[in-house]
Amino acid sequence: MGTRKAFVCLCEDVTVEELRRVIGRGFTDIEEIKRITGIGTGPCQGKQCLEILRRLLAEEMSADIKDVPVTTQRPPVFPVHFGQWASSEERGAAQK
Amino acid sequence: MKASTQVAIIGSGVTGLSTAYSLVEKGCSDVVILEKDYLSAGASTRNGGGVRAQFLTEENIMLAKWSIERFRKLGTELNTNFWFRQGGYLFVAESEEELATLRKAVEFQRKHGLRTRMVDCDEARSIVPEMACEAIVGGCFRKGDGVLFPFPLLLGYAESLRSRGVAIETHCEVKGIAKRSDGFEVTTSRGVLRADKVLNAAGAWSSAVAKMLGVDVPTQPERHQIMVSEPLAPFLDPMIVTLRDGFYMSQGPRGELVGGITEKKPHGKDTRRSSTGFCQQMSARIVSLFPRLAGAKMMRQWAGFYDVSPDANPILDAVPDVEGAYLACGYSGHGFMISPAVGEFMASIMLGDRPAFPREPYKLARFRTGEIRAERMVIG
Repeated sequence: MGTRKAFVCLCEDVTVEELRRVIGRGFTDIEEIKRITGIGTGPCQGKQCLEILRRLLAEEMSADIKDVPVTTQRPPVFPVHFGQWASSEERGAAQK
Repeated sequence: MKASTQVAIIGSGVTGLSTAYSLVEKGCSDVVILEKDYLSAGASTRNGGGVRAQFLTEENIMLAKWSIERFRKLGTELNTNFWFRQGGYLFVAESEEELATLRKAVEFQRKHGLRTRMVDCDEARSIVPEMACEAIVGGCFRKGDGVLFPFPLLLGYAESLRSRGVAIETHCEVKGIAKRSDGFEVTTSRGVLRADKVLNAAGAWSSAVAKMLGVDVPTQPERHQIMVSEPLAPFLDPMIVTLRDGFYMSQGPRGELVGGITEKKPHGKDTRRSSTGFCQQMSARIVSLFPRLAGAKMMRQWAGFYDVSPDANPILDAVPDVEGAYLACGYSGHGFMISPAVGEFMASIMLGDRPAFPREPYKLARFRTGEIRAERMVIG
């Protein structure tokens, strides 16, 4: 990946350069990188960026991408309205 | 990893980091922190960032007051911005009975030097303009409380400690601890470490780690869940808490709402992980208090563990009968907010100095002698 200033995470404004710098400081656990840079914690929940981060990590560490773990997937898969959640609880209670 | 050290700290959560930081400040930098997962992987990176002194025991008020003063300076000292913002904590009552509880709490806190005060509905509404006030009969408020963003503080500690010679060994699990005549032999997944002193700061895993030394610690991990909304325009200045169901919510620096609630019953099949039942219960509560938020979205949720002690107060002590072993655990959901004081306290007793707080109330032996004063202001 030659484009240093290319954005990897569009929700949280994280660039290739920033990720390389964090990895260079010794943070090679994907969970740590997520917490330091905020990558994958925006509205898209990592669907666009985390695979690119895995590839970057594999490159920087000369590892196979298969050996770079993914972060724990946090629900919901897509953001859900509070109103929708709330009415689904009422429906659930009515069924019981 | 080096072969021997003066102090081995088990757990790289905020307790371990802040104790190491105080040890270094007091001149002891021969410290190794052992972490089985990534940096601060337990409750320290999973909590809601609330910081309050509104408690119902003198023990917690003392530690919290001291810690809030420290939080105000720590960012500059550690060269990190953890967004500590003193927007206050607003506790809300929805019945006369709850209001009476808050009145007693305020009286107690004022006696212990806090300027907590009762507020009526109109004032509650002026502090949180979006709140639906039909059900609310009043509340109490203390401006000095607030919220912070946990991870930048943890990272600030870690980077400062590393630059001053402290080793933080992540992905290095403690498998066993043996007492020797001249210290301890700590067996880890990455080799053996000899240590003069050990501190058990393993959070939800602390009772399991204590067993390695043959010590029974009456704390238990208890799952709690948190959710975060999509970023919203700022509208919520303080942390808001309802007494009825332990609901709490604040708005973070990026505009996202962060909050949790006491689960009606443990939701979900796997009580170690997050569950949709929590999302439903939490959302129903959010919408009832803030009807306009029905149209906002929950972005993410996760689970973490409180290390719960029988009286919901921390255990901060030298391990009885095991010379050189120390214990700091049992925070029951408010460990992060008192961590600067806890670190200072633990470093003092580990180095044989006189701590800034009395030792008696935090001792493990209190559960045997029966002299316990339970903390009832536990939320989430």
